[in-house]
Amino acid sequence: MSNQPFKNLLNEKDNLELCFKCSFCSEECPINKQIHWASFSPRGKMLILRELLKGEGSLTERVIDTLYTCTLCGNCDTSCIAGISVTDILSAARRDFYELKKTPETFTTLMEAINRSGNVFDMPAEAMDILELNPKIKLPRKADLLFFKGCYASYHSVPNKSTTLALNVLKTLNVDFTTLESEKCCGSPAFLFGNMNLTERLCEYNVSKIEEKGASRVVTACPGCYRILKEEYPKFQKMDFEVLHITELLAEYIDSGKLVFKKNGIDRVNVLYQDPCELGRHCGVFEAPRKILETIPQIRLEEFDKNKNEAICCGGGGGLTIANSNLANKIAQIRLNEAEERAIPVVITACPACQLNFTSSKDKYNLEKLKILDINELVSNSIDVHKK
Amino acid sequence: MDEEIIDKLTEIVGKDYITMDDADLVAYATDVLPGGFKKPDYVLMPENVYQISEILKFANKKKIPVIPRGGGTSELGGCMAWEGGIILELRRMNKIKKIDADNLMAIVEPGVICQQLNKEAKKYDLVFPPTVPTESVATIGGMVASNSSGLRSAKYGATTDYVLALEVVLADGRMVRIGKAVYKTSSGYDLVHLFVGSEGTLGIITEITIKLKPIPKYFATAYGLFDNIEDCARAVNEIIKSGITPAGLEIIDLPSQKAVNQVAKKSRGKLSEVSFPEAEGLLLFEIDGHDPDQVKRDKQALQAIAKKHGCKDIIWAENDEERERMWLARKSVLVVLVQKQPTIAIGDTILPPSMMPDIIRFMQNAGKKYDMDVYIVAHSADGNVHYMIPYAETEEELGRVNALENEILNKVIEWGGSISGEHGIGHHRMRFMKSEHGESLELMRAIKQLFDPNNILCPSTIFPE
Ligand SMILES: Cc1cc2nc3c(=O)[nH]c(=O)nc-3n(C[C@H](O)[C@H](O)[C@H](O)COP(=O)(O)OP(=O)(O)OC[C@H]3O[C@@H](n4cnc5c(N)ncnc54)[C@H](O)[C@@H]3O)c2cc1C
Ligand SMILES: Cc1cc2nc3c(=O)[nH]c(=O)nc-3n(C[C@H](O)[C@H](O)[C@H](O)COP(=O)(O)OP(=O)(O)OC[C@H]3O[C@@H](n4cnc5c(N)ncnc54)[C@H](O)[C@@H]3O)c2cc1C
Ligand code: SF4
Ligand code: SF4
Repeated sequence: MSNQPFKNLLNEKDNLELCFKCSFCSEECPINKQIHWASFSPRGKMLILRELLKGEGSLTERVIDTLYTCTLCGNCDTSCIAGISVTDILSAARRDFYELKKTPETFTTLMEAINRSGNVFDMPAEAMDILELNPKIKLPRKADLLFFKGCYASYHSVPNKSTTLALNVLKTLNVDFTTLESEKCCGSPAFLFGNMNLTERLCEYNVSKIEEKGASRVVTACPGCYRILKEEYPKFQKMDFEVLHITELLAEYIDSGKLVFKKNGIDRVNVLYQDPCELGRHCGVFEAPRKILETIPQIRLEEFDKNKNEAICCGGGGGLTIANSNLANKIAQIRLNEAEERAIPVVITACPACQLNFTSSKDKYNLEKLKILDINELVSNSIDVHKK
Repeated sequence: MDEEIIDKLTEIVGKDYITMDDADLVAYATDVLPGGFKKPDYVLMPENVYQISEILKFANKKKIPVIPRGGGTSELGGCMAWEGGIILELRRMNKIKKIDADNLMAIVEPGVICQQLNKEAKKYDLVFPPTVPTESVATIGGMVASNSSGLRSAKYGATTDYVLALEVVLADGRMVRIGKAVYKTSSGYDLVHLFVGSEGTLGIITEITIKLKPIPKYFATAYGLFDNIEDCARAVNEIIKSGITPAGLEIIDLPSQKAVNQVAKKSRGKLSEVSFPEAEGLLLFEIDGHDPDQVKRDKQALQAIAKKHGCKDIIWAENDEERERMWLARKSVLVVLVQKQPTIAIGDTILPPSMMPDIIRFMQNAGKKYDMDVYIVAHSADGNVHYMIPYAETEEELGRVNALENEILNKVIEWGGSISGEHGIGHHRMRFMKSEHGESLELMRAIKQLFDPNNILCPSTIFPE
C-alpha cells in the first residue's frame, strides 16, 4: 500500500475523510442527472478517490472516465452539507492523474496544441487578431486598461462576434485600452486538466507581456480567463494589476453615468441570465451582470429557478464539450427547457463556453423560438450613443 | 467471476447497464452508514419491470443476493451488499407516469426522486406530503420501502398513509399488482402495507400509486421558549388534545441549538442567517391551512396553551423568509454536527408522546455516563425522539457509542416503544429485532420465507442470524 502516486490527493485527505456519504452533493449535479451510476455522482467520485488514496482501489479506465465526466461546475460544493469543496478534491485528483499520464487523450492533445501554438485551437498566433473584424478600431500600444481576449473570442466566430461588439462598446465610450499583440492561452484548460507546469508557464508569459504594456487593470469577457488570471495567477507570482470581468467594468460605467442605455417605448422582453460557473460560483460575481441587465430598459430580468450560487452549469465546463459534446448538449437542455417551459424567449450568457454550448444544444434539439444572446451583444445593441 | 452469470445478466439489461468495474463496486459499496463498506459483485441498472423480473428469476435460480437501491440515503446499511451479489440501481426507472389531479393521485416509477415528484405535482397545486430531509436525493421507491416520514408527520403522517397500490416483482420473478387506485378497500389482506417498510426484503417495488394533497396556502410558524423540556412536552400533549393539528411540532434541545448558533456565526452563505433563541426547552411549531381565518384562530389557541404551560416567549415568523429561516435552523442541527465530525450514531426512537420527557432525560443521563455528547430533536406530536451522537472512529469510542446506543434502545423497548419511528432497521439495527418483537419476529420470518424462500432479497436486512 502506497500513497506515493497521489501526492495532490494526499493534501486533500482530511477533506475526503470529512465526507458523511449523504449524497446531498448529487442533488443538482448535472452529470448525475444524466448518468445514474453512483460512480458518476460526486459522492461516488469521493468514495472512489478515497479508496485510491488508501491504496485499495484500482485505477481503471472507468475511474478516469468518472473523473473527467464532470464539468467542475462546483454545484456539489454548494450543496455539500459538510462544507467540503468537492471540486478541490476532484482537481487535485486531475493533477495526480496528469502526473501519472492518465489524462484522457483528447485533453493531452489539446494541451500539446497550446504548447505548440499558444492557443487551444492550434491556430497560428497571427490569426489571433480579433480586431481585424473591425478595421475602424485603432488601439494605442500602451494603456492603463488592457483587454485580455482569450482563445475562444479570438478564434471562434460566435464569441468573436460578441467580444468584438464589447470592444466596440468600449470604443464608443471613449475608453482608452490596449490588447496584447501576442497573447497566449490564459492556462485555464491546462489548469482544469491538471497540468500545473503548463499553467504556470502561460501565467509567466502573459503576466510579463501585460506588465510590458503598463496596464494597471486587465479586463476580459471570458470567465475562464477571468478566474485563472484573478484567482490562480497570484498563486504563481506577484502581479501589479487588477483583474476584472467585462460585466464588472460595464457596471462601473453605469454607476459613474458613463454608460447609458436607450429608452424606447416597446414592450420589455423577458430574459433569463445564466450565471457562468467560473464567474459566479467560483469567483462570486453575481451582481455586476444583473446590474447591467436591470438597467437596460428594453428587457426585464427574470431568474432561473436555481440561480447565483445554486445555478446549474450549461454543461460546457471542465472540458466536457471536448470530451463528450453530446452529453454537454444534453445537460444544456436543463436550462433551455426551463426557459421554454416558462415561455421566456431569451437566455443571456456572459461566457463564450455557455454561449457555444447553449447554441449548439438549441440547434440540436430544435428549440427554434429561443434566442441565446451574449450580454455584450445586448449592451452593444442597447447603448445610447448620444449620451456617452 | 462466473462467465455464465455475467453473460446472462448482460443479455437481460444490455452491456451498457451492467458493471463489475472496481470503480462502480466501490461507489456501490456503502450508503450513509458510518464505516459501512462491502463491495457487491455486480451492479445492474434495469430499464423496466420485465428486466427486473428476468434478473430475479435468474438470481433466484442461482441464489445470488439482490439488493435494490434508490437514492442510497439509508443510514443503516440497508442498500449494501453485505453478502455480495447484485445491486439493483433503480434510478433509471424515473418516470412520473401520471398525475391524476382530479383524484389527487400519482403513479410513479420507483426511481423518481421525491423533489422531482413534488415539482411536477406543484403544477397542479398538489404535494406528496411526507417529505424527508433527503427529499432532493431520496427516491419514492426508497421512501416506500423504508416507510419514511419527517418534519411534517404530526399532521401529514408517514409514507404508508399515502400508498394506495404497488406493482412488485417477487423473488421468483413473478410480477404482481397489489392494492387499487382507490382511497380505501376492505377486500382481502392488506398486502400493500406489508410491502411498505419491508426494506427490500419481500420484493422489488416497480410502480407506486400514491395519494397527493392540496398544497396549503397559509402558515403560522413560531419558536416557543420554555424553561425545561417537561413543560414543553406538556404543552405538546395539550395541543394535540385540543384538536388543533399543527403541521410541525419540533422539540430542539439546548446543546443542538448551541451547536447551530456556534457554526452559523462563523458560516458564510445561508447558514449564517439562522440562529436559535437558546432555551432549555424550545418548540418549533407550525400551523398550516387553506383558510386564513382558521389558521389565525388556531394560532391564538395554540399560543394560549403554550402560555398556560410556562412558555416564556413566543416568537412568530413575520414573513416567509423568517419562516424558512426557522425551518433551516431546525434542519441544520445534523448539518453542523456533520461539519464537526462525520461519524455520528443516529437514532429515531418512538414512544407515546407523554413519555418524551422521560426518554429525553434518560438519553441525556446515559450520555453523561458514557461521556459522550448527545444531541436531541423530536417530532414531538408523534413522540419520535431522535438522538445524534458524534464519535471518533477509534475502537475505544466506537465501543462506548455502541454501549450507549444499546442502553438507550433497550430502555425504549422496555418502556413499550419502538427503536425506529422512521428510518427502519436496515442492517445496523438487526440486533434489536428479537427484543423488540419477541415471538412476532418469527411470524415476520415466516412471511419472508413465503415470499423469498431462497433468501436472496436483502438477505442481511431486518433479520438477525
Ligand atoms: C441526513 C439524513 C437525514 C435523514 N432523515 C430522515 C428522516 O427524517 N426521516 C426518514 O424517514 N428517513 C430519513 N433518512 C433516511 C433516508 O433518507 C430515507 O429513508 C429515504 O426515504 C430513503 O430513500 P432512498 O431512495 O435513498 O432509499 P435507499 O437508501 O436507496 O434504500 C432504502 C431501503 O429501501 C430499499 N429499497 C429502495 N428502493 C426499493 C424498491 N424500489 N423496492 C424495494 N426496496 C427498495 C433498499 O434496499 C434499502 O433497504 C435520512 C437520511 C439522511 C442521510
Ligand atoms: C345496517 C348496517 C350498516 C352497516 N354499515 C357499515 C358501514 O357503513 N361501514 C362498514 O365498514 N360496515 C358497515 N356495516 C357492517 C358491520 O356493521 C361492520 O363491519 C362492523 O364493524 C362489524 O362489527 P361486528 O362486531 O358486528 O362484527 P361481526 O359481524 O361480529 O364480525 C365481522 C367479521 O369479523 C370477524 N371477527 C369478529 N370479531 C373478531 C375478533 N375479535 N377477532 C377476529 N375476527 C373477528 C368475524 O368472524 C367476521 O368475519 C353495516 C352493517 C349493517 C347491518
Ligand atoms: S463539479 Fe459539477 S459536474 Fe462535477 S461532480 Fe460536482 S456537481 Fe457534478
Ligand atoms: S454532500 Fe458532502 S458530505 Fe455529503 S456525500 Fe457529498 S461530499 Fe460527502
